[in-house]
Amino acid sequence: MNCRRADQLFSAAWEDELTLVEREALESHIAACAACRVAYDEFVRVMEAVQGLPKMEAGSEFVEGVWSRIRAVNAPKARRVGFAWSWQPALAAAACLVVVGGAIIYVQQNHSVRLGANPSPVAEQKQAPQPVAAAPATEKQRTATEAQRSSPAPMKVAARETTSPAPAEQVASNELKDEPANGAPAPASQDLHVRGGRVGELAFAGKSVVAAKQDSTPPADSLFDHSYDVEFALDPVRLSKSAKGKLSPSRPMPTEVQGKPAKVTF
Amino acid sequence: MGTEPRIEDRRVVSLSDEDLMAEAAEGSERAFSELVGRYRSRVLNLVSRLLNDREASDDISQEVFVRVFLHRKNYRRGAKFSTWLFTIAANLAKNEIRRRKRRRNWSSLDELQEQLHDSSLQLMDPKGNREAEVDSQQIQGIVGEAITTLPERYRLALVLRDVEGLAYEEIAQVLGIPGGTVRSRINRARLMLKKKLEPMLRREELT
Repeated sequence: MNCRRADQLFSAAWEDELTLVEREALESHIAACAACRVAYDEFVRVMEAVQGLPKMEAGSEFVEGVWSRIRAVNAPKARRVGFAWSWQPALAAAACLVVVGGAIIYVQQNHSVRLGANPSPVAEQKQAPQPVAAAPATEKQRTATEAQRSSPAPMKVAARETTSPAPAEQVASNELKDEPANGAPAPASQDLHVRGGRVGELAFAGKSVVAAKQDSTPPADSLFDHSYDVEFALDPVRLSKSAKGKLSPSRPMPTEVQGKPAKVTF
Repeated sequence: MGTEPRIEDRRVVSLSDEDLMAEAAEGSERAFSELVGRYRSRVLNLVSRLLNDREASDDISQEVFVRVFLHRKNYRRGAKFSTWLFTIAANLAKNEIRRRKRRRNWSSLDELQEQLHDSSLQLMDPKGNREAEVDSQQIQGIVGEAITTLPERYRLALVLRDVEGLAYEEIAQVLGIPGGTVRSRINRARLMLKKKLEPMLRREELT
């Protein structure tokens, strides 16, 4: 055994964890090595000093101190809950107002697709061509539709054709004009095939309008940005009326009906 | 009327730590107070020896029991309460050690080493005044300071073993390390401490 190995066994010797062989080897070495004898003696004295350190005693007020801290931890939470709840309802109300306001604006914009004055919804359907949901068409009709779409003279559709009173400038700016594609005569407006009676007329994309330039600011209820033309396909739908009077598009669509491209110029 | 609290006190005093903790988890303040009373000094002693700062140790020791109370429902009945308690205490003390180390609001390890060395040298008295006796309180102070100069992991292992007297297995659970690592750290800590205290020890030899 060397001094380095002996040094490593001091702790185990103190704990009485040496094997018999290790203990005999250590004792022999310490007996023969003065430096290790001093070192082990110092080690023992350090251990006695550490383990002899006086024990700290907590005072009688320690327990009350703990309870005071616990009460302090719990008390602010009640205030925080009150504080938190005081602003949450206001925040929730503000969020609801934002959502409702956005919904109102969106609905208003949707209703402003009238492209001019403010007709009644029924009058709109009767008198003005309206962009509606696309209807399923046969292959031939689709081909014809695509051919028409590719025609060099896009057809223009009026925003609306209405007899209801409207601002003069809007009436002047919106005129219905038949502008058939490829020189073909424009189809007349067709009656809708509805169950249980006629609902109204819907003019197809065959009709077009030449929209005069609008110098005035766009109407507030317009869906479109009037600085750009709008192109879309007009497909008629068959509206069916339920027993309760509710209108809804019926499926499947009549195969003889086909959609046509249209363009709105403001 | 007055006998009821005494009967309750006797009953509570007779309960084991684990039973008291179970009752505290159910809401018994009396049971929790009994636990605090049983372990307050041991926790204070542990934290004090780790930090060598009595004032801060009082605060941290109380905080240990606050944590025990707040997390009383997390205590698993099968686990030994003292192990759980010392784990919380060791963790809070560790946090304080690291906080002080970051803040550098107290002497750095190097500065402490120098102070320790100076203290030991003062005891040695270069002029060879053999009539000066080493005051036991001075020795305790020097030893306490020397412990705080040990690196955190060695300090914890040494104090838990040699100051608190915990078993190796319990120290392993408190520190979350294997038993072999516990022995290794304790051995290393003791040798490091011995080296730090050599000047003082040499002085004592002269008296």
